[in-house]
Amino acid sequence: MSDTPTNGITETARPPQIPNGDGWGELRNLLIGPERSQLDQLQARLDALRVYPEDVSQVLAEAVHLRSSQDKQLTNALLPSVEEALRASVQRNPRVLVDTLFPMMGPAIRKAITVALRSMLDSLNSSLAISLSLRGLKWHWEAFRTGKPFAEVVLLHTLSYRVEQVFLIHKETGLLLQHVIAESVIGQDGEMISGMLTAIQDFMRDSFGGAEGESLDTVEYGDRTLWIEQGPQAILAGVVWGNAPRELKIVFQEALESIHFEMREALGSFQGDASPFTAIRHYLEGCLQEQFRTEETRRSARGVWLISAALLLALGAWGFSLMRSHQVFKQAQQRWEACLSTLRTQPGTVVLTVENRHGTYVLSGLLDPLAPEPFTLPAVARMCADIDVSRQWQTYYALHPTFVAERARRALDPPDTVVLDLDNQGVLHATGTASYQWILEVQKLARVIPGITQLQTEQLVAVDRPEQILARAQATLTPPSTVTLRLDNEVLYASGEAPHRWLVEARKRAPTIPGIKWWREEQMVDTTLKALTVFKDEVEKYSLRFVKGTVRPDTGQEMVLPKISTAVRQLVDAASAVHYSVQIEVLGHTDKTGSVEENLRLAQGRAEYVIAGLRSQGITEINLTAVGAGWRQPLQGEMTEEDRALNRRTSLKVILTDTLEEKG
Amino acid sequence: MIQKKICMVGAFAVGKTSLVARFVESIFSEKYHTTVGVKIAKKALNVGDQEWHLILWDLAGEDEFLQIRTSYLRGSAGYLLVVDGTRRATLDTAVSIQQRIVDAVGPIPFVVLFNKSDLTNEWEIANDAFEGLSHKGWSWLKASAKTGEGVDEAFLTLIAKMPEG
Repeated sequence: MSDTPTNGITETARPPQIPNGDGWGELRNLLIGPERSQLDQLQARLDALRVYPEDVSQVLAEAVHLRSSQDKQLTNALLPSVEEALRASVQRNPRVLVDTLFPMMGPAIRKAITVALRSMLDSLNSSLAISLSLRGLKWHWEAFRTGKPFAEVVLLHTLSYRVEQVFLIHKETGLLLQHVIAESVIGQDGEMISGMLTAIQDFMRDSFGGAEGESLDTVEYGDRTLWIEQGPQAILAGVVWGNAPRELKIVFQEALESIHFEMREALGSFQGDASPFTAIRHYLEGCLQEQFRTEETRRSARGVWLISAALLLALGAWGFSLMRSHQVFKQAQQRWEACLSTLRTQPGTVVLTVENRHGTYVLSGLLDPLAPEPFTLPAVARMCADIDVSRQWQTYYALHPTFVAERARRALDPPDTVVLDLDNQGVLHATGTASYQWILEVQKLARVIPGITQLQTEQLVAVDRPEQILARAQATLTPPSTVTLRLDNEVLYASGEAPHRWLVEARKRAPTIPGIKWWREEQMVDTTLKALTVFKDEVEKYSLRFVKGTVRPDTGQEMVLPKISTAVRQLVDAASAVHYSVQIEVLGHTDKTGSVEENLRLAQGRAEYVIAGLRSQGITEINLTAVGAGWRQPLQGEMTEEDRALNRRTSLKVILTDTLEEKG
Repeated sequence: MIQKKICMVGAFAVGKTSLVARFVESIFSEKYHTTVGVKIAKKALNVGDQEWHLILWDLAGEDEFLQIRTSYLRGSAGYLLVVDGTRRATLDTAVSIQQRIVDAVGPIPFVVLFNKSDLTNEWEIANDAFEGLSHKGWSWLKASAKTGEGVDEAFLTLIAKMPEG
């Protein structure tokens, strides 16, 4: 080796000389000294395998976040430390924690009080609802029948679900580690149940096979379900009443996981001492969940409140009425008697029967349509207030003058110019002026009004115009065309010709026509009488002459009697056709010679002779009268024998009588 | 309080049920024997200051038709092997059962209980049999469900044979 440098290394930077023997080691130090120091440090860390705070601080936050999102083990792990730290903090200076919690305390306390009050109210409502409702009575009966406590029966009916018991069982031995029971649930010996439950699981596995991991999960019995959650070393079994949601299973699973995490060692080394497991009792208590049918309870509670209020009111009213019943009953009795007396004096009201049916008076009677319903009258209503009266009225027409007059007034509807007045005999007097039409209607209507016996319209003046009155007369009298009617100052003048019958009728009816007071017929010709007069004259012209001193007709007089008979027959037929009766007086005459007595006898005999002759001719239906006139009605003076012969005769006098007029 | 799972095994009609009925408490009826094949009962004892709750798995008696379910012995802290002192054959059955238990769950403490000790006239177990058991290292007691003799001692003996802890 020469001393001449072979590279860029200067004298001052010249490497140290390599000593004999340790020279290579020296050289190694020179070449990799710094790196070797670092490698030694790394080797030392690997050998020590320590976790350095600096390293952990880099990933702590992420690690906490990651594990918290996976399960609750971190929380459980930290819990004792945090609790201890809090305890230490409070012991050292409570003020720090109080100041920190203060902003949360107020709302939390208020909320707690509200919840407690609401819960108390709900509980009170539920108790009332259950005690007073029909359902409550039913449950009381069920409790009595089954021998269960009432509270248990209520719970069974109002619960939606409830976890009644939770067992934590050591898997290998079947021994009980912890057991919690819900309030008011009566539990059997947990240790024996744990054993039996384990035995049954073994039995199932042995009997029906199955892999190692498979196990009994659920046992259903009636309303209850046994939920079994299997862990590696312990079993969590819950007795659930009702239909619990599936989410509750997650609560069970998480509880079992937490127990395994916290009690891993205790579970592994379990030799029958369960006392360490008291520390995880809260996990089991967390599984004791329940849910009530709150909505239904509240709804029924409202109903029960109403029923309760009604019952209280009814009870109060009952008590009050009991206290005053006697007094009130007497007062009511007196008022009812007074009420009845008043009713009986009411016009248009007739009380027929009164019955008392279980405190209700049933009254039946008659009521005029014009009378007011008596119980609407203030006097009666006041007296009968609070008295239960059932009325059964039937309509009738009262004959009390007030009602008759009012009934007539309503039926006849008189104009203002008419005054109606009812007297004690039921005669209705109408006075004043009114139209003929109204008067005509009134005359028809009045007769059918109950209580009216007669209508007096004499004082009633028709106030129609003359042409109306004349037209009314024409319509009423219906005169034949040969008759002319004329009105002059309430006098009806008739002129012309008319049959006798019409004249008789018109004479009667005309003065009754409103607006007409008098009837005049001087200008009228009675055509019936005129016709009859012809027949009458024909009869009366006949005379029969007699032989002197005898009742024997003179010579040549034989044919006279049949002629008289024919004339009479014609007269009778004509008269009967117009309802006239015919009467004939046959007068016997004598001359003046002879005594008066003889002449009267002779005259009588001659008249009877003629009557006998007419009867024999068939004239039997009319009245024929023989009158002995003697010589007092001579036909002519007796100057000669011829004159005397003319006076010895009979004459006829016809009397016509209107038969209808006589009857009417 | 210490809980222990204890099994009671033996031949059919050796009087296990009578022992259980008179000296331990149970909430389950006899029908469990014919259905599940086991009935759970509990015997509470005080040993010194320590309270013991022995959870007894009373297994249905074995006969020619039914063998006991040895799986029920898993997790047991010990067992009582019950023999009817008036029937020699039941001892043979007990020996057979014990062997099967050892096969299934290994050697765990047990005590042989010769029941019906009050029936001395009908006693069939000769003294050499007891000597044979003692020679095998087995603990045995005479007991009577009728008089109560030996019942609590049997449980106490069993407890004593259990490892501490």
